Formats: sequence, C-alpha cells, structure tokens
Amino acid sequence: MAPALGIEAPAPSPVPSDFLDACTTLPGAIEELVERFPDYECLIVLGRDGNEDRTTLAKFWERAKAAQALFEDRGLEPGDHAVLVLPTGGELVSAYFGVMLAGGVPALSAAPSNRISDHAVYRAFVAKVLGNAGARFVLGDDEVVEILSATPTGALGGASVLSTRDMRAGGAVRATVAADPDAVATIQYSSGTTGDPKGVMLSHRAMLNYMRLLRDGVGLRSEDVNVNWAPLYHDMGLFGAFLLPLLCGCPTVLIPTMDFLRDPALWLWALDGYGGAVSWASNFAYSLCAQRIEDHEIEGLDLSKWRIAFNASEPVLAPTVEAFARRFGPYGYRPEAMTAAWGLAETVMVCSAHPVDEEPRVDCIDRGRLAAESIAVPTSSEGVSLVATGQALPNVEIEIREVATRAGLPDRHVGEIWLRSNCLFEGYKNDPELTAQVCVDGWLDSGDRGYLVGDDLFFVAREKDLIVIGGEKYAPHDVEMAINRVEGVREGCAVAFGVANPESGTEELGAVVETRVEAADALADLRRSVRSEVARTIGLGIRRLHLVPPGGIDKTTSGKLARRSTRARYPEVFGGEYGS
Amino acid sequence: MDVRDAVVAYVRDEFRIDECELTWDAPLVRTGLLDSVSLVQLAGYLERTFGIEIPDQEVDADHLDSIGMIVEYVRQRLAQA
Repeated sequence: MAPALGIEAPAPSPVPSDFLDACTTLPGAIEELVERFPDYECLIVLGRDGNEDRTTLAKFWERAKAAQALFEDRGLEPGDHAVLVLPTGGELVSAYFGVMLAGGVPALSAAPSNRISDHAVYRAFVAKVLGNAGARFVLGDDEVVEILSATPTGALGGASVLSTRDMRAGGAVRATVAADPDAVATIQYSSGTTGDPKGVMLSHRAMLNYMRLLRDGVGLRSEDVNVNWAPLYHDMGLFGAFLLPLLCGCPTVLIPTMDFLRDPALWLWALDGYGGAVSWASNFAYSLCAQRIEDHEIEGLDLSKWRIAFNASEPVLAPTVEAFARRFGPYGYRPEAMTAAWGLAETVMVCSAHPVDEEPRVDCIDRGRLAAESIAVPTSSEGVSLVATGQALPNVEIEIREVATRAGLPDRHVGEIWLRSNCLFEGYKNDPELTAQVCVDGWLDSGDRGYLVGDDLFFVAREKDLIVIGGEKYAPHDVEMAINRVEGVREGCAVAFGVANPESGTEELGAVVETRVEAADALADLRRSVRSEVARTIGLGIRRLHLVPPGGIDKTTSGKLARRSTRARYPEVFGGEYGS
Repeated sequence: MDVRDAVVAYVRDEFRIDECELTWDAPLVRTGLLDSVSLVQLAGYLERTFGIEIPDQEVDADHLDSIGMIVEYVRQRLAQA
C-alpha cells in the first residue's frame, strides 16, 4: 500500500521564513503570497488510495475566488457568517478563504461521518451552530446538502444551504473585500458535536500574532514540510495543520481524518514520502500507531526527517511517548521529536510547548500527596508520571493560581492555569456572561489544573468536568441527558465522565446510572438501551457502564450531580483519578 | 488466522468490550458498543489483516453490526478474491 504510493516530495518553498511579519489580515496575507509566489506548490491533499490533489498558490487562489463569487452571488454581505461543513480537502480550504475574501466570517463544523450517524440528531446540531453564529449560509457537499435540505423550513434559522457543486471557476474575478485587523476573522467551534456550541471568536490580529509566536517559539521554517490529518473543524487542525503552515509558506500536506483512522500507517508513509518535518496529533494517535501498525506495513519506512511531532489537545501520557519512541526508533524516529504542548482554542491553540530537539521531560510525583494536598512531590517509587507540556511561548505568560482566592502559587503547587497573551480570543459568540466568567483583568482562566517547575508546565487535570476522547471534547451533561431519556433510568440520576486509559492513550466514556430494575435480563436490556441512545445521539460508545440501585450516585447539598465523588465510589470499575 | 478469533480479539482488546457481550448475533453498532469512529477503525483493521477492500458505503451497521456479520462479510470478500 503506502510504500507504493510513489509520492514525490514538494519543491522547496520560495517563501521567506519571516513572510508573516508584516501581515495584518488573513486575506491580505494570502493575497500577497499569491502575488509573489503564484507557482509555488503550497498544498497537497493525499487520500487513502494514494491519489493526490496538488495545488499551486495560483490554483488555490482561483478556487478561493470561485467560492467568493458563489457566496457573493447568493447575497453574502461583509460581516455575514458562513458555516462550512466539509471533509478535509481542496474545497474546504478554498471555501474558508473564499468567505473571507468576500468580507464574511467563516466557521467550520464537523461533517456527519465524523461522529453522528443519526441524521436528525446531526441536523439539530448544525442548526445550533448556525443559530449561535447567526450564520446566513451553510456550505456542504452532496451528503450534507441532502441531509440539511430535509430540514423543515425555518429550522436552520433562515440560513441558505449552498453546495460545493456551485463553486465554479471562471467568470469575472471579484475584488477582495478589505478586512479590519481587529475584526473577527473566524469562529472556532471546537467543543465536539454535542451540546450547546461554544463559538470562540478570533480576530485577524490575534490569529496572526499567534502564528508568529508559534513560528518563533518552535523555530518553524518555510522549508519544513507539514503533514497532518487532524480534522480542520478542530483548532489543532485549522491552525496547526492548515493556516499556520500555509501562511508561513511551508508545504502543507493534508490527509482526510477518516483515511488516517482507517489506515494509520498512511500518516507515517506520507511523512516519509514528502520529507515531512512537522505534524500535529493528539496522544491517542501516537498510541494507535505504536500498538496497531504491524511490521509488514512499515518495511523500509524512514522517519528521520520528522523534526517536530506535536502532541496536544488531550493529556500527553508517558507510556504513550515511550511506546512510540520504542516502536518507531528503528525506523529513524528521534525521541526528541516528540513535542508535548498545551493550550486551548481561546488562545487560538497551544500556548506552551516543550523545547524542540529536547527529549520529553517526565515528572514522577507522589500520588497520595497530589490527591490530598495538591502538591507535586517528586518520588522515586511508584507515582504518577506526568509529561511536561512545555514552556510558555513568546508573548504568553502563564500563572498557577489557587482556585478560591486566585492568589499565585509557588512551584509544584497544583492550581488553576491562567494565562495572558497577545492572541486571546474576542469572547464567545453571543455569550458575554460566559466570556466574563473566564476573562478577568486581561487574563484567561483556562479551566485546567496544573503546576509549574521552573518554566515547565505540567497539566494535571481539568477543573471543569469535560470528557476528551481522541482530542474531541464532550460535555458530560449531554451524555447524561441522553441516558436520562432511556426508560428504566432514574430521572436525573446518571453521571458521565472520562476515564483515562493508558493503553489507548486517551479517555474512554464511563457512566454510573441509577435504576430500580433488578432482574438480570432487564438489566442487560437496560445496558443495551443506554449505550444505544448515547451512541445514536452523541456518537460515542460507553466503554464502562455501571448500573447501580437508587442512592448509588452522589449529589451535592444543592442537589447537583457530584461526578468526581460518584466515580471515586467505584474504583473497581473506573480506577483512581490519578491511576492506581 | 481464524477470522472469528481475530475479529473477537480485536474488538475485545481495542474497544474493551466484555467477551461475554461478543456473541455471534449481538448487535455492536446499533446498540452503541461500537461508535462510528470505532467502526471505521475496525474496517481498516479488517482490510489490513485480511487483505480485503471494504467500500466506504459498506462501513455501516447494515454490513458490520455483529461478530457474525463481520465474520461472514470477511469470508465472502476472501472467497471473491
């Protein structure tokens, strides 16, 4: 398969590494790139079958202009929002810029195949995104157009459904609508395909500041070929896989996410074949490759050019980092390529990263003192092994604060991670209350807990109850709502949470559910029904489902679900919070 | 390699599903034991392990819902090869 792809490395980039320094808007940056380097092959989309779509900047521009024309012809006015629902490919990336060239604000959303198979549930999700964004347009491929067209009139909030089939090159080239550097350039919906969408608004200025600080922080050069499969509706995909390399002038290779999941070795062969130097993935992907790729699939593989293997968007696990280095060391992979990083969409993407070319740093700390005193005390015996998620990137400040008083904490004391930078978001779309909760005096409350050792940041846990599986976020409340709909479940007595699984390198979904059902057959039926409803509406399988009699779930004195303490009651099912 | 043994071992280990739930006929996709991403990963595993090709439109509960359906599907594909 992959070795026979016959792929050719892209020609060296003619773009100077400091190209972005003078850019003030995204459309301005791409337009200047096109004017100066029209023949530069900037983008390659590689499919599982080995087919490539290789695009020069001139061709990319032509497609983006076709998308601009489509949106303008359908009535998009400057400032209007458009949601793009497309799989990774040339159409999506062109349309993204096409909306901006027309003066609009693009937002990306997951395509149905990525999670939700029930079309009614999927339509409802897209409708919520459109509603939150106040979008006037949604652009999709045939599958999406068919699904959305079956929606009752009005359910999409009056948004017009457009098809990529109508994106036609040719015709008069439209003038690019000038953008204001401080205007919102894009809205990022990273919080999975469930619940109420949280739209992170990012300005041109913040996005470009971010690209410069990351470029400088990790020493990204325009000769670095970037090879990625992360979905573009995810912040790591949109910025890490697409915008950052494209606008820094790095040859950019994209693989559709589903093609990677089906054939993980494709990613590694693409890194080999294209001379890939940089890639972004979440921990589960490294685990998947280490465990599931057989020797015969990678005969002759050479990963020696891989300079930066970013590991971000979910907890970086020490066993995964070690297993990956062990598995692929014989194929030229260098352990120092693994670059653990931490960040969030509200600050565009990662804002701390381990120094490039240094092996990952692991801190082994005392489990008991971490749990009881929130102190990270080094231990040589069996403790919790945490991987350093790096040091603050240039122009980013990180502080650890006590939860209650928000007072700063010294090294090795676990508290909330706060940060400040020149690339913070403009707020959540249509949600000033939530924005005010997390933005205080120019600082951002990340909602994560961690500690510092010198400049090294260690992530410990999320402060908020959030489930992160394979880098995708899910709100426990949505899973619990789905479970509560099942007959036999005690109303309001279900809790859901993520359970770290070191083997798969990510979390899996766990739930404790109260029921009065006692008969074994009926309990088996209930288990099936609960799993089925969650899969149908959330798109996730519950891996650890524990049915308990009434009283088996903890609630706070005010009647709220106490997820952590409920989970802690069943260590035999879910293990301890920090492993066992 | 016996197709059934391989499929059961993969589903059990990869998705941590109790072996007692992996009966021949028990639906895995429709009951939520396997979500859509898991199903895509399973299809990839079958392709690589048995050297078969599975068209995208057949990666669904109509074709690959239970151990029995998966095993029969793989056997049919192998017989056609």
